[in-house]
Amino acid sequence: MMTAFIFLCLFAIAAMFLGFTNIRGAIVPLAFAGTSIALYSVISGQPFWNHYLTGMVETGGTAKILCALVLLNALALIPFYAWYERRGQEEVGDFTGLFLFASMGAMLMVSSTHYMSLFLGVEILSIAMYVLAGADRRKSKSNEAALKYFITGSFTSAILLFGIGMIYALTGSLEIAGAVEVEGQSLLQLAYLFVFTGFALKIAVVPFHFWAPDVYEGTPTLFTAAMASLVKLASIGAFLRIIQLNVDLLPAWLNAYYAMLILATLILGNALAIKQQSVKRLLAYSGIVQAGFILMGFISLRPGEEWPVLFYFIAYVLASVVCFVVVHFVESREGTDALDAFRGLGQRNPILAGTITLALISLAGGPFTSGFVAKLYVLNQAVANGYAALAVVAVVCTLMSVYYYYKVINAIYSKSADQALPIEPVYSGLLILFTLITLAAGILPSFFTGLLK
Amino acid sequence: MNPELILHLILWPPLAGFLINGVFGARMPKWLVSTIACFSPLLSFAASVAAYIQLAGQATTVKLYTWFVGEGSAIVDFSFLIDNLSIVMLFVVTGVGTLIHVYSIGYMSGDRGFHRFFAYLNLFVFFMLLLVLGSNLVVLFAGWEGVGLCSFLLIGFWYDNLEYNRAASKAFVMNRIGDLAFLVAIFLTIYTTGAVSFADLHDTMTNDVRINDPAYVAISLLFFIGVCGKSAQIPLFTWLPDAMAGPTPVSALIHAATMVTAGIYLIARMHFMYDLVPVTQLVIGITGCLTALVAATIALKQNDIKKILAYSTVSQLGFMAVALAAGAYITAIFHLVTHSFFKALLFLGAGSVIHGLHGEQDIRQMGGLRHKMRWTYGVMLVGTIAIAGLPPLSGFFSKDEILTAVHSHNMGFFIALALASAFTAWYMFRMFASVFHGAFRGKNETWEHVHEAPWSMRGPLVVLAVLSLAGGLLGLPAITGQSHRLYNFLVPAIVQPKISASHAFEYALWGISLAVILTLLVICFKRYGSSGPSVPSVTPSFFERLLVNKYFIDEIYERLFVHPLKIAGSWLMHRGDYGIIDRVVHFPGKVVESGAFALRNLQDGKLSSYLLYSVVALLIFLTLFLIF
Repeated sequence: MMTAFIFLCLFAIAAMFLGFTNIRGAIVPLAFAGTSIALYSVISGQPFWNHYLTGMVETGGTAKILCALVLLNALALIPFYAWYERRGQEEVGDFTGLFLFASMGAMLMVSSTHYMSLFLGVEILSIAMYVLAGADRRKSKSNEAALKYFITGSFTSAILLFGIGMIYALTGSLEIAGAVEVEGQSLLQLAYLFVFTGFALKIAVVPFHFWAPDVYEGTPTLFTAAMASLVKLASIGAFLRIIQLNVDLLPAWLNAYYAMLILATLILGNALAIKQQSVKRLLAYSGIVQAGFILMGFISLRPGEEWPVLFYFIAYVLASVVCFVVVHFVESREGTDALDAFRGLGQRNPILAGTITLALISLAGGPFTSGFVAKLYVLNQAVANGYAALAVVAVVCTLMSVYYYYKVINAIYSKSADQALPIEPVYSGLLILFTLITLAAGILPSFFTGLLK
Repeated sequence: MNPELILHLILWPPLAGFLINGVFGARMPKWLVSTIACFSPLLSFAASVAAYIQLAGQATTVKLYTWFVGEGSAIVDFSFLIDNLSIVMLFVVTGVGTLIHVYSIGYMSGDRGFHRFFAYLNLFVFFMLLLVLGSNLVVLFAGWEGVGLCSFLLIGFWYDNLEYNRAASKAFVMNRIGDLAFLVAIFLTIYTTGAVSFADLHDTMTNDVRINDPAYVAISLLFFIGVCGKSAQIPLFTWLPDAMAGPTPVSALIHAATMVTAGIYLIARMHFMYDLVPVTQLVIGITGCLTALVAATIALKQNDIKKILAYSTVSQLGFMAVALAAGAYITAIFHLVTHSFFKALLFLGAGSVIHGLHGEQDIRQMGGLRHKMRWTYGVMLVGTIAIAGLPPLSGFFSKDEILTAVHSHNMGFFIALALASAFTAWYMFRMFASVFHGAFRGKNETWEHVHEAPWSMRGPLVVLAVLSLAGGLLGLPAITGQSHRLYNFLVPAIVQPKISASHAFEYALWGISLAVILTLLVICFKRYGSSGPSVPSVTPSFFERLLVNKYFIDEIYERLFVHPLKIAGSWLMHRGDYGIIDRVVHFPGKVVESGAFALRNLQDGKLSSYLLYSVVALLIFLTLFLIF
């Protein structure tokens, strides 16, 4: 595990320096190789240097799976950053390096057993993402996104830190699992409320979601993809770990808290998505709603039952990466991500059209896709724990969501006289690969859940 | 080869063929489309032969993966059972299937939906394989639904004809009624036994023998309703004659040889349950007899060559159902196999006639065709005497065995079937004589253009004719001193006593049936094979009108079910849907919309407002926390 951190850092620094040279073509392959090595060391569980991590990081169990997911997500996205290099943009080294740093922060977040390392992870991830949000310096929207993201992020950190500080004040320990029962129990619970609110802001669930559509819209789309996948994965993953480590001590109101967040998120998130004309904003709301769905897997979470949430991660990350990447290609050609830009995509590039269509179907929870199975699992979790009414609302909201996903698909397959929109075969191949995994996880879920269990 | 590899080789080629022809077919040359389409079932057939050689005798279950875990202990695996029963069905499906694919190359050559047709046909074979190979009810049901879908697609294949589309919908709806019962039966099975795989069900039901247990009666009856839909038994049989709207190879493959026999297969597969429910067996027997008789009598007066064969199929399925009811499951499978040979042959032969006459299907417009279509004449002769039951053709032995089995079981059933057999011989000879003998009654310019079918069509016909001739060798009765091969082969899969009768009875049965059939042959050829310009027309009697109009069953259903349903439907649409449901549905939509509108106004782009809202939300949560 330690090897993974070290390698990610080294390769990130190397990528940034290579950006100054004229062998920028090597950056992306190098980053890919580094991430692969990191993934290997996480999965194989090599003990080298692990003793430096005493007590701050866990290397097995759910933490290991989450780290592997973070790195797989990085492997999925890194090849697309070569697009900047092909276009001759000099900052490709900075972008790739920052993305590797962000992935490292995410890994730290999801493997921490200590609030100190957790907070460190949050900051490493966030600062890299603030910069990436403003990557397109010449565009005022991108600058606006970076600033909004930065200020909201600082606000989030403050609330999170306030909660962590209270926990430290009450227990004298920063161990995540260490908060044993002390006097002033209700005060400790208040501290938890702050910590959870911090995460709710990072995850972007209603009513802490306001920043997300603006930031998603302004950020260059390839980094929005990172925001939607990596940041959500890391924040929800870290949240999952906190719940997991404190499973005996959690306050009784937690389920009600989830239920309120989920209800608000599903109903309002979907309602807001319906009228969007910008596909990126629509996908931002879709991400908000999906996060609400993931939270359903948290209800009465018991050890060993994390796999529905983890499966949902796979389904969501795959679908959202495909969506944003396709939006990126359309947007870079048309100059806008408005719904009209997607008209006739089915004729202009069948692969882009087909893959985004299946990804949207997966997000909507259509059968034979991973999204369907993922939704089934978390709904099952909610029903099994006595939240059947919530599950019913969730299903109704899902039906509602079909409307706006369909709107995009409808635009894609409507007629248009525009010319073809070719992309390089590598990217087509990757998109097809992700789509195939989405279908495989929908048809053969037992294989994937077997891995996650 | 290990069983799993064999299974993959049987199952997937037709699906691959469907995908290739379905996706790329429009852009591929016809020879490539037809090569792919014909080789995929052929490969399955070869793999089935391999399965026969490699696994014969022992039932092998191949589990691919656990599909899902059902209620209670019911685990639904995506797994397949290769035993001797499924091997017999595999031979029928892939063997006859391949022949019909080859035949279709010639028959469909001029159609612009060439690749679409073959894609559907391959897909059908795939689902049929799923059906006969599934090791549990759920996989079987998946195949069951799939073949229904393909049947729908192929009946309505010429979709620009509204009448054909109606026929397709009719078949679909009637099958849906049966499928609903089938589905409920599966649920009930899981609920009462906690098992879905045939092996588990067999163990549960044979370990704890409960005759006429109410749950089993309910399950078996519900399954039988499903069978009525798919295998066209009374009261759900009227879709099958209409299904003749599809191209003729479809009628041969789906609506004669394979899909419609799926119900017979299902009951044979579940024979251990049907052995326990004499009540259901009685119901099946009565339904089967009625179906055999009603359909055979209707066929007497039909003039459309395909309709005659369709009613004949319904009638023969009735025979099989009665055999099942008598506990003679292997006999039913025997008749299923021989029927698939001679009925496929008859349909394809009829297709050849229709092809030669450029679409003419009315036997009153035919006659004397033996002069111009020698091959077709020969093979149709084989098919006709096979189904009529003249020894030593295949139909004779299987029908004889059914009669023998039924005779010792229930005298009433025996009489009904014996009567139906006589009708069978009558309508078949009538059709045959009107088509091939006498003088041509159609227009002269049609006669000029009558031609024999191309070799791609003649080849399969010849093979099927040989099979119809020799198919009886599969199950020779004890009286001949030969062993019953099919019985010996199937008995590990289907536990059932051997069908036997006294020699005196056998000889009497043979003698009488031979005499009756030959008498009918002579009468029919005199009456319909004469050179007269047309069949003499007399004012039809009441009974004749009844038969010509198929007992008015379609009209009765129209009055009894379709019309009231339409009225109820339109009332519900106006009052219920527009009046109540729409309002109920639109109400939350409007609430959400106005709520979203308010919330969208909050989204004003100002960062300070966003942070304020977050703080307010946090404060609300804090307040809630303090209150509770």
